[in-house]
Amino acid sequence: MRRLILCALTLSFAIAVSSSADAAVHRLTNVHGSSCQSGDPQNQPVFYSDTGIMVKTGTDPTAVVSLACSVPWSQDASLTQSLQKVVVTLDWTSVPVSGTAPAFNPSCMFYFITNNNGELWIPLTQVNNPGTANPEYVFNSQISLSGTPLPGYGTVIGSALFCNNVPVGVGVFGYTIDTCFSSGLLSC
Amino acid sequence: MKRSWSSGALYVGLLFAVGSTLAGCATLEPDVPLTPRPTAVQEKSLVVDTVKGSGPVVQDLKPLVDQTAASAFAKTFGASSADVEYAGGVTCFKNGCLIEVTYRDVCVEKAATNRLRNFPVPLRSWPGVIYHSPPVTLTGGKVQETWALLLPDLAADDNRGRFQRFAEGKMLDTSIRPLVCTTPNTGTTQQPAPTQGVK
Repeated sequence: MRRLILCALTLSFAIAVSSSADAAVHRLTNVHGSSCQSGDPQNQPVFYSDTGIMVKTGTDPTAVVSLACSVPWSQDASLTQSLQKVVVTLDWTSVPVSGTAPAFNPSCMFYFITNNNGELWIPLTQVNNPGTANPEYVFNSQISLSGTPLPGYGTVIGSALFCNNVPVGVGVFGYTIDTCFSSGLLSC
Repeated sequence: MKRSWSSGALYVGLLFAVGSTLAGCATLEPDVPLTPRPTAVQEKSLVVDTVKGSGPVVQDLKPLVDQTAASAFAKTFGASSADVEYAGGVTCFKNGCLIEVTYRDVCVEKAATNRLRNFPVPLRSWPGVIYHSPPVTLTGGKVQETWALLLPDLAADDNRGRFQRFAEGKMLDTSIRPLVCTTPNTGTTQQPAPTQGVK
């Protein structure tokens, strides 16, 4: 009987500890379909398909397009924690892999602007599935910083992915943004 | 009777668990006032002061970091000039390199920022986060901001390799395309003539 009571108390303690740990880290993961726009929509348009957004192939099969993909995300109004880390993944589709195709180098960065008009660019830090038709690009703020904090809570008012060298015929399948708010980077 | 006592204890235990959980949740309530949004000065200080306080660049990489940052910046925006003035040069620390830039006016500042966003300039391959502080308009219409070319931890082999590959790679000099800005102090960059829509 005592063992049963002890178990119940242990269980409640574990739940309480777990709850308090959740309060220290707040993660938001948003998964988006594609919502990209061409830098020149009249001459180099994109179209929607069931596998994402595709860049139309026009008369010039070697043309490249500038793509801007909006990344909507918000900061919980009840949070008092700082933004510690942002990880964005961008999944491509129909990337040419034949030996004659030029190397795929879409020149992408993840960008955000603060309420004070400061601007920040997070570079590409990793490519998963390289050399295939479906590479995945990862933009990880933590890898490309060395202890320098991101502008803190409440400052980010807009963000987007910018790729300015996307070959026609290539598509964006979707992208994900993972943000971590905490009182310290180690928690993320 | 014995079974009833067991159920009672379990019930009390569960009540205690729920109570503890609710108490934990209660700490998330925004009774504490929200942290105010940082001002432009505070935002700049957050990044710039941290970089300055990070100490010197790893000694054996210092010449390479200094030279690479200066070269990437110049090949993106051009050498220091009346339009884009950074006579103080590039100063590098363990966490990144800082450049204090004064633009001729708002128009040039916007043109410079637009270049990094929309063109394949060398800085787009910088192996760390790039930040520029909120622009501050000075007397006379000049605009000042600090660029921070942040560095990953170069003590880690992966990061060091990534930086060295960038430093040794060929940087196209895109600064030969001048910052297009012929309407000073208007806050707008000159746009190309609109193309005709497809009917």
